[in-house]
Amino acid sequence: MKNKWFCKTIALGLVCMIFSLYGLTANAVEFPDYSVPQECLTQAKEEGRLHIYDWAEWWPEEIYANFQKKYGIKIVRDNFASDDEYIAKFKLNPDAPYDVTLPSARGMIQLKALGFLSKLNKAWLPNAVNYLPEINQKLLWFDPQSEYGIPTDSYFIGYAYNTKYVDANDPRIGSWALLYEENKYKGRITMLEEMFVVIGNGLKYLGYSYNSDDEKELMEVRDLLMKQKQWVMAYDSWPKRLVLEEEAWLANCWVGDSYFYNQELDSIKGCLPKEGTVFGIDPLVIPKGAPHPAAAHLFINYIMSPEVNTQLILGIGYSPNHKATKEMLPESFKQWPGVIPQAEYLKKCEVINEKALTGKGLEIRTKIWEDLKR
Amino acid sequence: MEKTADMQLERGIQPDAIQSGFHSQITTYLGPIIIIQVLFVLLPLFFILAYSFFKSGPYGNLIFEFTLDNYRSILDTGYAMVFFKSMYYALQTNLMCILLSYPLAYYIARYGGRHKAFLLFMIVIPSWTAYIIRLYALKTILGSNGLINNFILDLGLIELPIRFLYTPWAVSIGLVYTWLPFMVLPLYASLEGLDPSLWEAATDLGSAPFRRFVRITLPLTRGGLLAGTILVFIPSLGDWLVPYLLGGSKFMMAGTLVAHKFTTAGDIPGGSCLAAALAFILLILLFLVIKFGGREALEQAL
Repeated sequence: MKNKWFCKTIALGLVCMIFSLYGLTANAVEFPDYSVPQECLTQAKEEGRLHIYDWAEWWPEEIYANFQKKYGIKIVRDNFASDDEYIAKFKLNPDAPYDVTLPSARGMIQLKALGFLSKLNKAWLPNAVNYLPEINQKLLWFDPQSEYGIPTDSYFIGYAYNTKYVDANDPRIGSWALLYEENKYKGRITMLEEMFVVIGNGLKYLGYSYNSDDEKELMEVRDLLMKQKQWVMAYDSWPKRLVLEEEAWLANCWVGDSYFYNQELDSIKGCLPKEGTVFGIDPLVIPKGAPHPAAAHLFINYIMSPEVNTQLILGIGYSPNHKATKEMLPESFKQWPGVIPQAEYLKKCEVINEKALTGKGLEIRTKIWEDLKR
Repeated sequence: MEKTADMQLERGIQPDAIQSGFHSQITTYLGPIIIIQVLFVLLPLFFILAYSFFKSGPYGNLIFEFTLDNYRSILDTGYAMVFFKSMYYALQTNLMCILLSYPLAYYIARYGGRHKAFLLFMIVIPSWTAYIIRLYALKTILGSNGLINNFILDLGLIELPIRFLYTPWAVSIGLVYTWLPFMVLPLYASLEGLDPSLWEAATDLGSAPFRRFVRITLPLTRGGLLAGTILVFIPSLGDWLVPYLLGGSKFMMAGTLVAHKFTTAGDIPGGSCLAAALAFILLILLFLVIKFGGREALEQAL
């Protein structure tokens, strides 16, 4: 009775479908995608344009394309390649006509301190209720209530290593020592081209605060870095090619990036050093005098809808700040270091603060960096 | 280079004509370029100069108060080393460019024949691709897994790949590669303008080829050499992309230092101050080049 079997299979399939649909709706009920108030939507439609200033080639293009399609608002994008570039631009022209910008924690701290950011209108951001508040309040000292920026993701800086070349029994795996101590991987190490990161993680390795402005501690780091320089291959913020072509065996990088290296080359693993590291966020902020504020809010709310946020996090590999995204990510991805950080590990991490960014801390850091690169 | 334009005009037009219509002609020919120069070159330079006298706030914001501290502090700190290093690299690049492009330009000018245009075209054509893309291509060629290493490995000359990338060598190669066309073209122009009968006369009078080169060709192409030097030395002194991409940004050249001051250090007045100092040094060098032999040589080159 073939026919009967056929019917049964169909019925089973239907039952499965219904269950899976139920599963989806269950999620959706828990974390719905709230839409912005009508008033915001109308104003945004009137404005019709959105000027975004963000990282070059980082977020998946579909995110922008889908937004344009969904709301019929034209997106004009300008890109930068480093935090420094971003900050310098606003310092030289505080009235730069952007509606939404995507700095990192450092960029946001500086812009906020300079008074270039405008407060978000939370009534226009209904999706903002689904943030992970514990991260915000404990670590994000500069904006604990997310009044000025919505953190789309969090990041940690660690390193990637190639198990083909790095001895699996090396006891230093899992510690900054693998990068900062002399070892047999001479000439196969890349460090980030980021002053605060390279110096800060050196401080972490020595057991000091990431933001130390103590001259003695910083001078210790200086000696460490000067010694390390001879076995560093390059200071490169985008070591992807070097890692994938197996020229570099150890690469200081954002741990999220190492997930994608691993996707292309199995032998590459990511690592969050046990001494702790710097923790940061990539917030969406609205600069003062933004010409299209409603469209900007609409965009931020769109990015924080569960589906779009999941798409974004899967596209960049960083740690999500959205409750729904945390649930919706595939298990294999969640296992990667730094995607779902443990509360205990977070205690060892620090966010950059004004001690490193201003005054003596900055002065000594700049000096060290200049000496290092001489 | 403006000089050459003048000379061409002078050559084609009789002295009387220069007297009468020269100024109006100059303005019509050079008007647009002068506007562009003022808007996009002089004005930004003026801004940089102005910034260098301002103060910098705690978060690196500009405070519009006059100060000379920036200049004082660049004299104290050891930036001179960075400048000297850049000069060394620029000089090295310049000499390498001359050594490489002289035979090339000489060959094209003398033996190019009907292929001249094609050969020159081949020199210019790489510049149609963006500078940064060419550097990335060079990265691929120089890498441990790159073209050169694979070739030598296949020949069996070496067992392990030689490291070119991220060494001072790579920086030198990159700089020479980038700026070579700017030396070839002026040299070609001056060699092309040489009257072959001079060589014939020298040969008739019993001069050996080497002596002929030293006594006739070289002095007469001095203009081209100096023009090429100006075009190669100055940009390579301010280059920061090559040390960044090919040198692994392990050391700074003057351009890198200025970029670092502006961005990472967040010190816009300090950066402007260094930029102004660099521009000042270059102006002096340019002045010296033109003063000692430059003017005369440039005239001769045409």
